[in-house]
Amino acid sequence: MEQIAQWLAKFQSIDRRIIYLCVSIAIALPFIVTIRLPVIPTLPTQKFYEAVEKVPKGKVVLIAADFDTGTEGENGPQVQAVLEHLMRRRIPFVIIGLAIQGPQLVQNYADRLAKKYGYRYGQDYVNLGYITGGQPALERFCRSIWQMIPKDAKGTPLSEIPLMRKVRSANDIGLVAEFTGAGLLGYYIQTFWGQFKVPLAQGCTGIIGPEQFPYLATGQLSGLMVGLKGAAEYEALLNLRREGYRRMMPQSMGHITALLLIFLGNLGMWLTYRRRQIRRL
Amino acid sequence: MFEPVRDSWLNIALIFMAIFISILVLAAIHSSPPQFKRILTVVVVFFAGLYFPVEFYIPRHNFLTPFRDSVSNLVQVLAAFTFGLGVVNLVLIHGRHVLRRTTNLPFSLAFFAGFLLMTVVGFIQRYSPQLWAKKAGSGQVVFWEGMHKLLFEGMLLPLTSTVFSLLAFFIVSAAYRAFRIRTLEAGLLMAAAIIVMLANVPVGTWLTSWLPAEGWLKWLRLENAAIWLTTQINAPTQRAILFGLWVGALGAALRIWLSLERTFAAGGR
Amino acid sequence: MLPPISEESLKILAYWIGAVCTLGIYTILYRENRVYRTLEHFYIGLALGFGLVETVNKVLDPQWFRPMVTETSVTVVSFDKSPQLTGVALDKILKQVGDGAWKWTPLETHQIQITGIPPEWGAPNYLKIWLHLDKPVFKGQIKLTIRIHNPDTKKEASLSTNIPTDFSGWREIRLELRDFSVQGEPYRDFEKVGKYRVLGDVVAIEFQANDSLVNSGATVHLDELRHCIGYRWWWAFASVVGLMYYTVLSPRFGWMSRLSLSFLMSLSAAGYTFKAFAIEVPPHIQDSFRPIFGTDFVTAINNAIFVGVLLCVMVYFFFSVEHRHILIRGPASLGRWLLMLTFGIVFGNTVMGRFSLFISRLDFLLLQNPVEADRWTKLGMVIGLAIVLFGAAFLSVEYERRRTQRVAT
Repeated sequence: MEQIAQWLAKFQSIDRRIIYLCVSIAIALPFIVTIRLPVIPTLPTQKFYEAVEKVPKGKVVLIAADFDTGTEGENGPQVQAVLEHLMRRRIPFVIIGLAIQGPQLVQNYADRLAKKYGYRYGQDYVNLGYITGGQPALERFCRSIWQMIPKDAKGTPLSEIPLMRKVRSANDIGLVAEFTGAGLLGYYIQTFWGQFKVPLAQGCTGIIGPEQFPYLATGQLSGLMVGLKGAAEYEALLNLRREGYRRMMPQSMGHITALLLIFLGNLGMWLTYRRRQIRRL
Repeated sequence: MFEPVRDSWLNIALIFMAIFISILVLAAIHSSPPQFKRILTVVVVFFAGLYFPVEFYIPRHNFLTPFRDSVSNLVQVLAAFTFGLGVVNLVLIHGRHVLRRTTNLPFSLAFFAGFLLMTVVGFIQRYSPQLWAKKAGSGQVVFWEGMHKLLFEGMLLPLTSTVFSLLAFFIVSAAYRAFRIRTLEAGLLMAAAIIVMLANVPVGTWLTSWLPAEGWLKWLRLENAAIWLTTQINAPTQRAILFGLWVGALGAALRIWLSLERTFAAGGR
Repeated sequence: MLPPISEESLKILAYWIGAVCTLGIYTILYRENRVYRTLEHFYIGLALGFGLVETVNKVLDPQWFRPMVTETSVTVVSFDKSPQLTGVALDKILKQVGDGAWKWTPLETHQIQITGIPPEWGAPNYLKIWLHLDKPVFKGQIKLTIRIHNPDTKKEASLSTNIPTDFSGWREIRLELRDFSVQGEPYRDFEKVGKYRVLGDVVAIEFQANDSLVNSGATVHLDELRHCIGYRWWWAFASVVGLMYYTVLSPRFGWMSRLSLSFLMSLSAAGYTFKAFAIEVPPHIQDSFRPIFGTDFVTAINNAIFVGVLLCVMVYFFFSVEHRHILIRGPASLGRWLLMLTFGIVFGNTVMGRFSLFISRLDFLLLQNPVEADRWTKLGMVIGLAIVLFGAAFLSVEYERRRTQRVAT
């Protein structure tokens, strides 16, 4: 027992690189050895799913890709799950983004999925690219998409894109699905939701997830997908097994390693404290 | 006065006139006493800050409405000009390293390589994609598009993702070293963190999957406990923080609007 | 001439360069080294370049430079495609802009209507069209009509004007919209203030020849109809304000940067905050009043907890009163504990987020390798690359250490 206590006390000052190696191996292991466990969808993700289900016929969904490669690990699988859902329901969608790289990333996903569902660029989906200017720009976008962005991301005039003929203002949008790792939800609430009554749903990173729950309570958000877990839940709702699901086991291993390390650290601290007390006595 | 002109030469003349007048006005202000500059900044800032609230609070179709889009454009353009400041700053810093051949020289050269490659390829790809390039056949892309794809998808994308992902290691290392339950508060924090961390992964939910899915005991299942904590404890707490933030934001906005924010406004150094 | 690149080789190249970048950055986990620093600086350069290109391409070019130095025109009809109308043919020889022009013989058909044009025109000031007449017709006129459907009034409207035909050869005609005669209500409600007017949805453009032109037997060529706003020279002032930021580098002229920065901050951040507050916050206040009576037991308990937590945390943050009295101190302490619970939740989610990013990199390295090989070979390739890069990092650290030792001695 004394030896374990000594070892644990020493373990507290272990080289950080050993911790890094432990974490790497733990997370990499499920990539090599396949283990599968079911994912249970939670209410906020179910609400997101229902919000997509409720999009009226004839309206489009606006995919707001407000993330870049920094948070693609979380937002990427979320967008892909939602795109798959939209394509299954044959709902057209328009991509924009307040982050520079976001729209391009989402278009890459859409192009890949389009082959499976027979979606055509221009007919069923359009990428309008990166928008600058925050709320005033989004407000203008809501009033007139054509005036705000006369050309798509490739430089094609909107008049030459068949889908855009019926997408002219926020009134033609049935749902805004925003994906972000930054606190940009306010911009959409102040414009789409507040001034044009377009429902909003958000896929956000784990870090900002807890901040978004008050908006779910007010109804300003119709649905919420938090982190990679949210993506895995959405995939479960769609009976899919893609990135979100695939990455849940490495995620599990990572969490267990982190918890184990925290536990060992505390145990070491507690044993050191006890040894000191015993010595004093 | 602000009617778009129809003639390109007249337009060029007016552009030069506008720049000339601006320089004259700036020169006149520059030679004025500091007190005047301060008052001028206060007045300009006050009226600029009035636009959006007045336009919004007066019912729609008011006299300010037609300028909404122009003002929104102006904000974007002025914000875009600030980007150049970052470019100038970094180029100056690394330019100095290159000229003085400091120990940072190879890294500064790497900076310039990345910057110039992306800028040149980016501009050519956007404005003249066929420049000195042969046409692409099926299954091929034009040289500049390929280069841009390589720089964006092959380099920028993985570099950004990887830099952010480093935080995974640092957070575990920091948690291991600093996350010690010494007080009640730390215990509460730890308890909530454990519940959420376990509930966020299938292994965690599997641990309590033997509990019934209905009835009172369902609240002991980790996924339900975590969602309850998030919606019933986290949501109102975050809302209280949100209220505080908004009060702070309004205060900060008022300080900027009334030129009380001295860090960059009138009188600031 | 630069050759095209095949998509397949591009995919493989992008993967391997990406793998080098990924593993190269991870060498920092071993120690600060030259491989990492080089990639880090290269990354900053790339990101800066990308940002610069996007800023110019998305903002400065379309919103500042083009409005200032061009007419900001949009092509309504290019007349480059075959018209499918009797009396009108595509002429690929006699043209001004693009691939062709329409040759119209009014004697055969005195009126042509063009549909399928861009419906949304915004608020243009004038139209421009290239017209060619093989001979002047002094009493001749072409009536140009813009047919509009107004979504606000749900009614049809039109704008029309007459173009004289007293010339021969090509001529670019400018038609001021304010000179058009108006039938019905062609302007949208939401922006109809002063001179600034947004048109409803344009559904068709019509050209109608009068009797003199019809009877003259003249042929008319039509090319490139555009609607234009005009040159907006005043954007030059924005460039002056924008360039004023750069005086921050000079202590003497630094006041200019403060003036322009304050102006921008006040206009955007400060001005918009008041508006944003009015839209975003009231629903939160409203939702904080939750019923305890008249609902089921579980909801009532949850509502009571929700409101209780909100009040406790708000009391904790209320620093205007000293937390001495039990009625303040009690809820404030509870508020602190509740905040700790929330921070625990935030921590749990943060760990999840950070791991997800690392997992996505591993997913890239281990599962997205486009090389055709079995998974163990791919794994071996990645491990091999990692050994090379970490080896290089180790050697660079050793080199630095020895150099420092040499300098010290």
